[in-house]
Amino acid sequence: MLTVTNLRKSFYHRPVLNDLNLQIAAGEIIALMGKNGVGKSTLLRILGRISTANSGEVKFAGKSLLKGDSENRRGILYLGHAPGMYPPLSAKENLGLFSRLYKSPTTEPGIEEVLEIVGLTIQADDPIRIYSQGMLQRLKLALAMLIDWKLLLFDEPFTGLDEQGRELVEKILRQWQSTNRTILLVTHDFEWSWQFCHRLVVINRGTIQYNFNIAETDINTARDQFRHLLV
Amino acid sequence: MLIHLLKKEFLVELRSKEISASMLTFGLAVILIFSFSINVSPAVFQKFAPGLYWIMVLFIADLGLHRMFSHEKEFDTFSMIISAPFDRGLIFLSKWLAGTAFLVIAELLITAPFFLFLQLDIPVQWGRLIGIIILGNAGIMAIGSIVSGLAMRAKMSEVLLPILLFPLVSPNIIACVKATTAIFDNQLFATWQTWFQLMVTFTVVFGLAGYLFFDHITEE
Amino acid sequence: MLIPNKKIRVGYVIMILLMAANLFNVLLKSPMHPAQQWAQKIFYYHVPSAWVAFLSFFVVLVAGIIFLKTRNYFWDRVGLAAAEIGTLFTILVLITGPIWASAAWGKAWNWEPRLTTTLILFLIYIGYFMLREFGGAPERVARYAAILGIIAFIDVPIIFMSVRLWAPEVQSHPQVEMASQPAGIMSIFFFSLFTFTVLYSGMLWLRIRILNLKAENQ
Repeated sequence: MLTVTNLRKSFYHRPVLNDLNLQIAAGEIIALMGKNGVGKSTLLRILGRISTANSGEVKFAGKSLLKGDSENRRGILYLGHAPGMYPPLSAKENLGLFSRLYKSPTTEPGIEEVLEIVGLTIQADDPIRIYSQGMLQRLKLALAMLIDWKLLLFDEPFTGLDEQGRELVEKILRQWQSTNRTILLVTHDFEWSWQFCHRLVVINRGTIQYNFNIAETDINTARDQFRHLLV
Repeated sequence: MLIHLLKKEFLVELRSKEISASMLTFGLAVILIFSFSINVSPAVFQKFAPGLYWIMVLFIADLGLHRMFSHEKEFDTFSMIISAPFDRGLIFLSKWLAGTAFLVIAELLITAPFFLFLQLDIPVQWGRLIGIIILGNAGIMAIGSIVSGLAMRAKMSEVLLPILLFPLVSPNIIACVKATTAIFDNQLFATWQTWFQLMVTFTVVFGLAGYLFFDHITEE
Repeated sequence: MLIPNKKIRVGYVIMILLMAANLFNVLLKSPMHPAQQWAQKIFYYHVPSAWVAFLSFFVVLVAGIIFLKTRNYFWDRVGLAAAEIGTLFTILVLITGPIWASAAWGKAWNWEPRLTTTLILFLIYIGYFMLREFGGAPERVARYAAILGIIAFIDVPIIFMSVRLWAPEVQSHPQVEMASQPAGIMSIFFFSLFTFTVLYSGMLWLRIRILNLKAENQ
């Protein structure tokens, strides 16, 4: 459903992504790994049409993503490091606003339901400015549950989450997994990706160095093989 | 979609009051400085007043624009907005229209003290004056929203914004001052019609340019 | 050898000869203006400078449009080179204009519309270079500079209109007057215009070359 061909991106004349190629099939959950600064977040931001690429092509559901109509990026949801929602507005208001902007209109009960799942019911009407990092992360999850996406780009889902929060992410991921949804997530947790993802993609020097099918690979061999690329 | 974006601008402002508070207090401070630094008789002041008024408006517009765009960076909401599946020209339109509205609201509260403190006579054609002020604001905010988009991700955005904005907006300011002066002197519309046309041209040209270029401006 | 590239060496020689011929023409061959005497001669440099400055900003516009279409960084360098050289000639216009004005009108600056427009354009381009300097990553700034170049160009006619109407009592440059001058003045003027255009093309070509070499080394 997503094809990335010869993607290049430089930053201050330094190549970040260098002829990167990647294919994602519908229903896959892919863990994107690599050292800091190898371009994982940059790739996600390009796919979310937030950053520009220097050259290359990305096709999403058969349509050109980087050029062409804004409608071509419909179905992609990017969740970055930052909360991405308006600090003076409440959780409810933010969710209502963004679900409309992402063309997945919802109702008040719908919003209350997802807030209940992520455990933010009590603080639902507080401005998110006073939220803790973990609460903001839960809010992002709530948004992902509201919006009707085909491809989720999630940059480090676990940032700032407590044990309960981690379990919550895992529970929701299991649901998405069982309903065949496509997710590309950046993570640093090797063991975890073995449990939850179908494929492991390791970026190094701006290209994809390893592309593992997790079910077919033994975790220990894999770990030995590219430990040097992860730490 | 535009209506949701506009609602968002107003709701965020209603909650944070950042833009209106900064524009309002700064405007009042500027009026105070004007009255202290230009100490002449009210009759003479009447001649300077249109120019001073638009200087003040330009200052507070610059301040408001900076806040309007910098609050998008605080939680990186701008990324979420530009990633959403709609034409990014609409983001420009929402900033432009909301910015004009905020400026008008601030002026509603500043214009009375301006006339009061500087001891000016209220022009006979006050209805036309309001029209010219709104049109002038729309022109300033059209080019201002483009320039803010260009400057918002820069290192010194608060400095770059006025440096780029003031020369670019100068024809509109000239027209605003000329039209306002004519209204203060109670002249017929025919005598300042050209200035009115120039303001309309400026506003339409840069409103359109902003709508068309914003797609290139937004991505980082 | 000071200049190793043969093409550039030949270019320099042609340029020097042309400029020398132009100077000779202006100082010794051109007829003396009865009223303005020597002061009028600055026009042979002032007007071509202005022409080159505006031509250069037109190049910035075209390069900007092509860059946004193709995202080829060569066009970004063309835009930057043209903006730099255009600004240089803008400065020349802003220096030579008041020199003439102080001799002819007794006042160095009197908000003559063309000169005022040039001044505003100069300020816009100062902002342009600041945006390039402080705008962040050069990849992004290239896009912003292209847009600013286009916006500035769109603004120029509006600025000119407004400035001309703003101070209608100020007389424009006596260009009309110049056109009615004998052939002796006009041919020398057009030769100077030609010389400046050649000079400009050469400078632009060299500057783009330097920027290309710099980009290759990065």
